[in-house]
Amino acid sequence: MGAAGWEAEFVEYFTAQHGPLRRLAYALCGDWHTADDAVQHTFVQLYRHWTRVRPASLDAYVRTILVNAVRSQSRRRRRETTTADPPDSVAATVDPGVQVDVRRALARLPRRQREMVVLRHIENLSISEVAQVLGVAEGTVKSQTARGIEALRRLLGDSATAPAAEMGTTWTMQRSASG
Amino acid sequence: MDDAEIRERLIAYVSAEPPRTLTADAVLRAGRRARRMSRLRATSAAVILTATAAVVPAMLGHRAGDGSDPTATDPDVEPACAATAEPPRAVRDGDGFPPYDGTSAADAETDALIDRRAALLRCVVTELVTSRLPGFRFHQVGDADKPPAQTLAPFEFYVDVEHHSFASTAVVVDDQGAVTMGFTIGRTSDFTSSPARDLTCVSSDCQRTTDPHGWNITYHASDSGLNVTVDFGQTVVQAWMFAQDLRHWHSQPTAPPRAELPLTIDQLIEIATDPRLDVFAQR
Repeated sequence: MGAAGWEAEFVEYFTAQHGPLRRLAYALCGDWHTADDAVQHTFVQLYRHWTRVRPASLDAYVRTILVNAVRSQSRRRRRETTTADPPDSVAATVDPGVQVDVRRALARLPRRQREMVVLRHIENLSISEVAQVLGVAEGTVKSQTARGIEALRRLLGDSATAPAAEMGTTWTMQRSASG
Repeated sequence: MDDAEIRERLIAYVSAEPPRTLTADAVLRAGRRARRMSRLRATSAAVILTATAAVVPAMLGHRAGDGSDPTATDPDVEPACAATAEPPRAVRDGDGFPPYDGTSAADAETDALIDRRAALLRCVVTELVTSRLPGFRFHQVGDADKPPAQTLAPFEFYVDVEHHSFASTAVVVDDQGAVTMGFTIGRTSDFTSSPARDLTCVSSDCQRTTDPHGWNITYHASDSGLNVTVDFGQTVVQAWMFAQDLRHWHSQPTAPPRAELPLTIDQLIEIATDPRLDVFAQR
């Protein structure tokens, strides 16, 4: 296969996976700017190594790059800003209150727990797939995901009574604490 | 709230995304740039190592010929590379290397200019070298045994945006063995601070001359290494060739070093003084 051939395959993969990976990155970091940076970094890395990645492990490989990119981008943005990011423009079909509740709840989870919950319940990966992406034992995935879901249940249950003034600062504070 | 409801809220949370700004074209451009830069770093290491290896033997060596009389470009072969030449138009900020992050429309224009120059250099150098070395095979350092999909053209030029230069290295092989050959082409103003500058004339038999066009030429030669530097005024071209055993540090089978270099110093000077290599000239 010539260069044009593999680039066409790469573009096809980009077209199919850009959206899902962007949403995964957003679920991990809580803002679309960081998510976009991480996704771009991921695809550039993937392009560089495309001809050497085995197709069977491609998705896991890409998710691992993305998780690491989000961690790196989040650390960088934390150094650059001390206030919460301005709200992103989102489609009007979802209740903004629900968005903030979930965003805040995810932000309160420790980073590793958040990664496991997102990969397991948004990406719908199996326990072993999550373990492979994050490089941890399956037992750790089981226990941390259960704790994460329990924490989300509690946080989302409490959200109806949370003071509105808290919403603007929570994410930044939690990002700093959980990095 | 049960697990299913939590999952539903999580999925709803990520489903309301703002418009996408990243495009496949932007990723391809940034990816190609990253690939070139990555390979440039590897190639630069080879250039420094091999240039050093060419210079040191020259301290004990001798020049292969005297009274160089570099010829002008062969008009018969010039049109072959015309299609890759950049159009005669003004370039943003004059040198074609403005700040770059690989994603904007302006970056795309810059990228296109850089790629055109790299393509022109690849075409010209391939033509100049292969016409003087019929019957030889050429490949990139490290590409000897890779499948075709993972190899690049022998004289593919890599771009160093930071140092405003292009570089290429190739292995030249025939039945008698292999030699390595390389080019570094940069702006004169940047070359003065380049590490390569220190390699141009360190031996006692280093020679200097001036081309009929007024271009300054520095060269030295031994049985195992040749090195030429041509200062066109706004562009500096370094060309070198040497015989060194690459089999160990590339950990792959390749030919043993050739006992005799296949080009003379005069031929290498002819190649390095081809005016088409003066890619930073203000035209």
